[in-house]
Amino acid sequence: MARRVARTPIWVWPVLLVLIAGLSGVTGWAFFGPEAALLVQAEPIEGEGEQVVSRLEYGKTYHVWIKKIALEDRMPDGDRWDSGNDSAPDIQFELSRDGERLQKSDARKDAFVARWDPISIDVKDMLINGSTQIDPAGLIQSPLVRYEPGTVLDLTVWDDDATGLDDEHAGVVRLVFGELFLGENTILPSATGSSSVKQVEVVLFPEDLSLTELIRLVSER
Amino acid sequence: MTRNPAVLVRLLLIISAALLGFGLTLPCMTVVPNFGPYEDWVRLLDPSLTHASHYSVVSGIGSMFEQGAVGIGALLLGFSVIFPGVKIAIMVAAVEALRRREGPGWLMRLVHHAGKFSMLDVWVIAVLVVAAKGLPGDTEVRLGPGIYLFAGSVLCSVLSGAVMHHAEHKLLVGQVVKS
Repeated sequence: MARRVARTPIWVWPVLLVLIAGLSGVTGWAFFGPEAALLVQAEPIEGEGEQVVSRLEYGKTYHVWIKKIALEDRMPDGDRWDSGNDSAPDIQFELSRDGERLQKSDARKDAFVARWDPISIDVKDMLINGSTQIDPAGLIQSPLVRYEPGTVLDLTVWDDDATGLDDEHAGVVRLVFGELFLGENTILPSATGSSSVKQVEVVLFPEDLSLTELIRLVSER
Repeated sequence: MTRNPAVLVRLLLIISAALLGFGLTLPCMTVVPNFGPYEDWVRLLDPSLTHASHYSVVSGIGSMFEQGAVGIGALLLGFSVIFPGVKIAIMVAAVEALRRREGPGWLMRLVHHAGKFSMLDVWVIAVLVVAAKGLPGDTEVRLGPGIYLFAGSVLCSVLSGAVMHHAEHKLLVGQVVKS
């Protein structure tokens, strides 16, 4: 008696191949999809024999503009910000080098994301001093820092309390000049139990930037 | 169709299917903006303009739908994603039919017509690369691995089509001789 050989149904192979294509697509997307592409974008890309991104140069002086600070929605210890009045934090920062203060900002009220401009006019000071002229160099509030090997700045962030008695520490971010570039740098501090700083944008621009270019810089938000 | 060509065709189509999935999802093109002598200033004033952009076929189609270019997006979805997958499925079904000596039938005719559109996407991306050469400030377009994998998938399906065509021809000749 002849044995009947079972035949694979003709539709099995097409389904199998479509599954293989789908599986490889999912694998490719998981490892090299948009999220991965975004991470790659964060790294500077070098052209052939020529750097596209400008690093800082030793011996040069740069303005350091703390453009934006974003905080987590909880304090480092997990408590809510300003629990007394259920409001968002009043973000304030101090920039220092080797323990010496370079800049102390004013506070940005009730915000998880705060921005500062490098240019400001102290109207009160002008009125008190009777000033009638504005010195362009005096408008720039961002501190000047000369880049030397090992230059590191400390950015201390806190939730300002109006009375000054109950400031709540948000965290300290170290700005290592050797890792920064000319222009805008976005720093994403590692999540730790002692810091609630989620993101810092710091802009470094040359000390000899013209006022016109500086105004354009500020206007580009 | 004898056993060996059938095994070869199946293997080529399996490779083609795997390469298709990777080719559609891996970056096929990277646009690196460059503004020539103004590069530093642009980075200073609007750094987002200097960031490289990576595109895969799938992410590119998604962007088109998001930006309202539904027609183009649908066209690319059809010819880049759906059509190649359907073509591979039809080819493997056709080789099964050939192996069982059921004759070429409508499946093989479908495969013949489908083969004409095989290199459409590779051609589109090549045109984009050439067009990008004309952008100012030394902006560069770099081909990513996705385009090579996609082209590899197309080549494997073309090769399997050639083997199948040869086997189909032998089958037809055999049938003529018998008759």
